[in-house]
Amino acid sequence: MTTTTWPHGSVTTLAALGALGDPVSRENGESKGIYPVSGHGGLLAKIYKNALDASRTAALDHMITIRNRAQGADLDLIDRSVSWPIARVTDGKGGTVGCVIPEAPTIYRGLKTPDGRQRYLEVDLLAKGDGFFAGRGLTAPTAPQRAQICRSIAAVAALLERNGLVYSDWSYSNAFWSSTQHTAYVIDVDGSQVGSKANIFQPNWDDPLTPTDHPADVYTDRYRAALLVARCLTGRRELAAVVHALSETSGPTSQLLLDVLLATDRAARPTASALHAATCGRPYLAVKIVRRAMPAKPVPQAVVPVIISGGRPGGPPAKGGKRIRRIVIAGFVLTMLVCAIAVIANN
Amino acid sequence: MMNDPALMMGQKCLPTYLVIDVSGSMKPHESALNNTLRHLHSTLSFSPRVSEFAHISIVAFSSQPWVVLEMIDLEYVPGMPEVSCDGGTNYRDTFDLVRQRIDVDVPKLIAAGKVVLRPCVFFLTDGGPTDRGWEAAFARLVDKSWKRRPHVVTYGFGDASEQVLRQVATKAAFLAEGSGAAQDKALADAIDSMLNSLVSSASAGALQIPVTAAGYRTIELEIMD
Repeated sequence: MTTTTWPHGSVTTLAALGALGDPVSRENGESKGIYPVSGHGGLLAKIYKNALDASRTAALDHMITIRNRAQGADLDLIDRSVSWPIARVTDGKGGTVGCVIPEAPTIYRGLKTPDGRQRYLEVDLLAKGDGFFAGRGLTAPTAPQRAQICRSIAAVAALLERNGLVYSDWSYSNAFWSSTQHTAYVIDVDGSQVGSKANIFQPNWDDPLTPTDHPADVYTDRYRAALLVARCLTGRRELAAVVHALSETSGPTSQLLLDVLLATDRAARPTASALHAATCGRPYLAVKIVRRAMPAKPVPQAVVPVIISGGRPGGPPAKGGKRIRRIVIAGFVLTMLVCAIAVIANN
Repeated sequence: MMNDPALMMGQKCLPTYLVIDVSGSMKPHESALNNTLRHLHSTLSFSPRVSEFAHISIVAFSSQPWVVLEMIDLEYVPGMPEVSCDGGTNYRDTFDLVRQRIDVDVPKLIAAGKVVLRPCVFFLTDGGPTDRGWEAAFARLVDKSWKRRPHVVTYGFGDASEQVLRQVATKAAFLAEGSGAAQDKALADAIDSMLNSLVSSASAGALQIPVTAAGYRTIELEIMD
């Protein structure tokens, strides 16, 4: 979907969008709801809880202009890998109440849950080891497939940085991945701003070198994007486990990620472009980075099989209770076996 | 930076108790109840960022309460057991059991290196208590001198009493709109509201309680935390 298929210009009104469909998302972050735009398949209207101020409105217009002027590989990347805003939505009186964004393509829907629903594959799942997938009847991505998906994430990070945009919202839920094409799709970028923006707090994504009362900037984004790439690459989540997994693999990508995550000077962190180049196997200007000491290697914690009773006291066990206890124990053993096999294979 | 706080900090965890009424009056909705529990499990087991934050324990109650599922990251549970509905509505022993479980679960989570937030109880009921003395048990559960006292959010449907829902809530109370066949939907809506709360909480790293719940009327509480 390119801007040429959106006929209403860079600024439109809520009324012009017509009746909005049932929301695909409600009360999520800054948005009151995200709705399909009637007559424009593949486009969504993101309606904010509160109207944007002048600064945020200007930032949104800037993003839309970037898209309108993009050509070649950049336009292709925007269309393929980012839910980049297409138009600003006003209330008809000048107040900015939302934006029009592309919907993530269906190739990023790959998860059929036990209750039969189709869900987008969040990178949340990618930041898990092979045992997670095995335990759910899913096919774990191979190491080359993980690398390809991470390349896609790094490309978007580099695109944002190249345009001076600070996103800040790198997280488990703001990117999808395709289990068939092994690419990534980044969402929620409409809040990006030039230079700096309010630091969006997300637990376990804190930049240790950015004070909590400091705005997010390009250096914060480099850290968070690198952390996301590192988590998806290694299938680990705890930072200590991630850096140790990286240190145990060779190659420029791992080393560059360690430079970003362990740098003692936030301004010295390698750029997002360097990260992208490394993931592509291309040369980049490598600068010697002073790293902090590695944290202690975490000791893997065994998950104690949970005791499920199910049944009421004095009565027979509830249906599924004893069987589930056996499955939990079997699942635990299987998970440990898969992890052990993965460790042996990687060594 | 030998002792970098960011690298030393453990994972934040919200101990979450789903306390569900499985008394005799819930029998017509037993199938819907088990379906909603399966929905809860399927959603959380495929959302590591939420399940690692909100560890779940399920307590069912009728004439007596019992633990259906001990506190766990639902990712590690392959499926939900089914519950059957029968008996009275014993609030007193239920509140006492929840308090006992908190005293067991919170130390375990701390020992596992978690940064444990104040527990949250999501209390679902379709009627009023059939026992006496429950008020004192609830007072013990939310006693301000007990450092592990939980937040309590109530969802009522069927013959649930607005007054009782208000009394046993500390954060928010909701009463289902509609009756009869709509009660199955009310159950599903309550779980969806709870899930939305957990998802928002996981993103924020702190408990986020909805101001409204689809299909429910918000009950104004007399006392707010």
